[in-house]
This record gives sequence, structure tokens and C-alpha cells, in this order.
Amino acid sequence: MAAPSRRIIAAAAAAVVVFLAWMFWWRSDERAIRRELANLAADANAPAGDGLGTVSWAAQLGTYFTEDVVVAITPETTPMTGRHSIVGMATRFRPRFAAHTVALDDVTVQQRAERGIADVRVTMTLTPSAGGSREPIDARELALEMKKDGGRWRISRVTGVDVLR
Amino acid sequence: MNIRQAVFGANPRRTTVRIVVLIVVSIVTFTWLLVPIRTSGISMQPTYESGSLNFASRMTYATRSPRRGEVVAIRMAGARVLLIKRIVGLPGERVEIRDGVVHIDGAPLPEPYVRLKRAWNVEEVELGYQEYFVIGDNRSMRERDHDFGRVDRSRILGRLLF
Repeated sequence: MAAPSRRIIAAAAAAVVVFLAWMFWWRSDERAIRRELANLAADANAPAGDGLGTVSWAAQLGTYFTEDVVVAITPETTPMTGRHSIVGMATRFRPRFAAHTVALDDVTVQQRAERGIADVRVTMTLTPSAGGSREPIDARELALEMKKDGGRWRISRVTGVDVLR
Repeated sequence: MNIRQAVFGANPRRTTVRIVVLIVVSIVTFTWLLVPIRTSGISMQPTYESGSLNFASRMTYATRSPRRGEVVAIRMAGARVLLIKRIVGLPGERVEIRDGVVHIDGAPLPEPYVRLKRAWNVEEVELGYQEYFVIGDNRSMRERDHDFGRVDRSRILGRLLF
């Protein structure tokens, strides 16, 4: 009887060690970045209502970006700069946002040697949120630069990645 | 019959071993060997209808290079969202599309899998050492609505099985 008990205790101890290691890793900056992106997608998909609701929703989205953010999705279009541009664009295109569900998948995080800056790759998909089709209508790989700003990881640059050139 | 017997059967050790083996085999298979894919979109019609299920074999290109005509899964930021395209151009070749007909090094490429096509025109490009030219089978779409072009070998995740 003694041997199986020791084995069970050893297995439990190993499980605790693995759990603690996982918790330690999961509490890292990488976890914070992943959580920010998950929250960004959730907030982008949240219902906003009209008028002030839309303004408040757009302002909330703006908090995920730095003040001087640069967004350059395609080389053909002029880059959008500044948090205020993001908020303005979100307000203007709220009906289009509401018609789609945004998902951010396949997040990979690479921390730079420089403290407080990380390079993130993510695949963004857009799926119609109403109507018959629930299949993605667009998928795009994005390269994000994120900076720790006021204790929070915010997006400072968004660049579209051409998978097919 | 107690709960332990009901859950683990008459021989709990054997049952546990079976469960562990099943989990390990599933993880190995679906992480390193096969990637389950649900097709979405119309760019590969009529070969693959939107919503169809398939698997991409990650091992196919471990021993050889991708070949012309093969349908491959192309990764974006990861393996959760993939592009499905057919290889038409191989490294070092010149690819051009003239009035909807793909030309490889100046010669038209027979493409029996393409049923409908528009008169697409794409200027000639020379593929690099590790570049493939990929395109969907549905050429009845407008050119600007269809994602196609050069892709790095490193982005080709595997070949579709069927």
C-alpha cells in the first residue's frame, strides 16, 4: 500500500509544480498582452447603442491604442495616425462594426530587448454577425507593436502583412 | 458496483493507460501530423465548397518540396486561420496571367480544375528561390476580390489530403 501512496503524492506534487510554473508564466507580460487583445476584440463586438453610446464605445476602443498610434493596413492607403483618428473612424463606421464580429486569433508575442515594447503577430477575421452566413468574409495578418504605457500594454503601430504578394 | 468501477471499469490501470495513450496520440496527430480544416469562402470553388471539411498533412513536405497542382494550406499568423490555394508556379519560374490563362515561362498552363474564368491579366513575375505562386480555382470572381500571388515556402503548412 505504501508504494502507490507515494506515487500518488509524487504525482500530486508534480502537478502542483506544473501548475505554479504555468501560473508564473501566465502572469507575465505576454499574458497581459493577450488579455488586452482579447478585451479589445470583446469591446469591438460589444453592443453600443446610438448617440452617446457610440461615442463612449469608440472612446473605450481608443484606450487600447497609444496617443501616437500609426495604423497602416495596406501600402496603398495613407496611414492613420493618432488615437483621435481611431476614435473618429470607429464612431463614423459604427454601423459597419455592428454588422460584423471581429476575432483576433493566433496571437504570438515577442518581447524586445528594450523593456516595455513587444512585437505581436495576429490574424484578424471579420464575420457577419447577422444574416444567413456565419463564415468569415475577410482574414488578415497584422503586425502590432505594443508599448507599456501607464502600466497597460497599448497598441502603438498596426501594419498589414502581405501573406500573398 | 462502486463509482470508481463505474468510471474506470474492472481494470482501472488499463483504462487509465488507454486514456493517456489516446490523449497523447490525439495531441501528436493534430499538432504535428494533420491540421483539421473547415473551408470558408468561394475562392476554391468548385473543387472545395464553402463549409467542407478537410485535413492538411504537415508531413508531406517534410521529405519533398511542394509540386505544381497541389492544393496547400498557407498559414497567416498561426495555424488557426489558413488560406487554401493551389500551387501553379514553382521557385525560379516566371508566372503571368494573360486573358485568364496562367502562363509559366511563357507557356500556357493546362488547368482542368478551373471551370469558369474571367479575363484576368497579371504582369509577369519571377519567383524567388523559396517562392511559390498560388491561386484559387474560382477564376469567375473579380480579380481584385481574389487573394493570389507569391508566397514563401515557410508559410506553406501542408498539403490538403483530399
